Amino acid sequence: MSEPAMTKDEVANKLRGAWRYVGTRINGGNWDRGANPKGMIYYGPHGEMAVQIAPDVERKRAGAETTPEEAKAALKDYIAYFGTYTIDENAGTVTHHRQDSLQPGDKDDLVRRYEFAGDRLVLRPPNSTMEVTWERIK
Amino acid sequence: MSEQSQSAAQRLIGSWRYVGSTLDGKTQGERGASTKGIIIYDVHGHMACQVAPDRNVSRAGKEPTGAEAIAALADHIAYFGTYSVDERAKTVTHHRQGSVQPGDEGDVVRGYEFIGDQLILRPVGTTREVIWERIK
Repeated sequence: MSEPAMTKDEVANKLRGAWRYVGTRINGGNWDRGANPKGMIYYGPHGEMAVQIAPDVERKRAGAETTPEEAKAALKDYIAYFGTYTIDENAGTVTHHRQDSLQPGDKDDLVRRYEFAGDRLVLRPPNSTMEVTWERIK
Repeated sequence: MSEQSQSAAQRLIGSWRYVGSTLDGKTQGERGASTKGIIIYDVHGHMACQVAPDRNVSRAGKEPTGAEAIAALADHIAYFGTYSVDERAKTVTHHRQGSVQPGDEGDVVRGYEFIGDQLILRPVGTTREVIWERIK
């Protein structure tokens, strides 16, 4: 069901705050980040945003320095970026303007269609079958 | 309500932009001139922190190589979880639920100080301080 038309302020009011990661689906199946992945996305009142998703894997470091294999394993599928956001209430999208991302080579804006369903927020990259579900922290 | 009459827990709430860090009173430049970062304390006791060094880490292929992954992780802070404030000790404890750094688990305790629009966090038992500025 499509969202009833909301004003920009209404969308902003709904987005604002912190949301807990529930899960990611793609092509109707679960994106595998392990049994208990954790994550948080935050939309601030001044246009600032940040997100992290940590797959449920052990990030080990055997010695004082991280080895290349340990680094690859720690980084794999870990999402961490932050910046600002803008809302296009007509398109039903929120754009994340990333100032930095943990992942190498990862720097462009990201557009997400938003849907509010009860205490949940579903974010969908346009032209993709992926959906990321978040639950309001309260 | 004036800032003075707010509790530390109330003053922490919101988001803060990374300004810089010092060690023994000297500015630390190891993360580069334009290091960016954000720390968030929300109203329900959740927190998240990211500090990204000012450096371009490229990725040649689809997946980062070992060397690219090490470069991406170096000095990069990314963790989140919950927090608790001890107003007597003037500390805030970050109870980490996830951190990208290998072997980085458990709580971290930070002494806090508010100076105008700035928040100074000091890892307990060190001479390091990390300076943040309120986003507003």
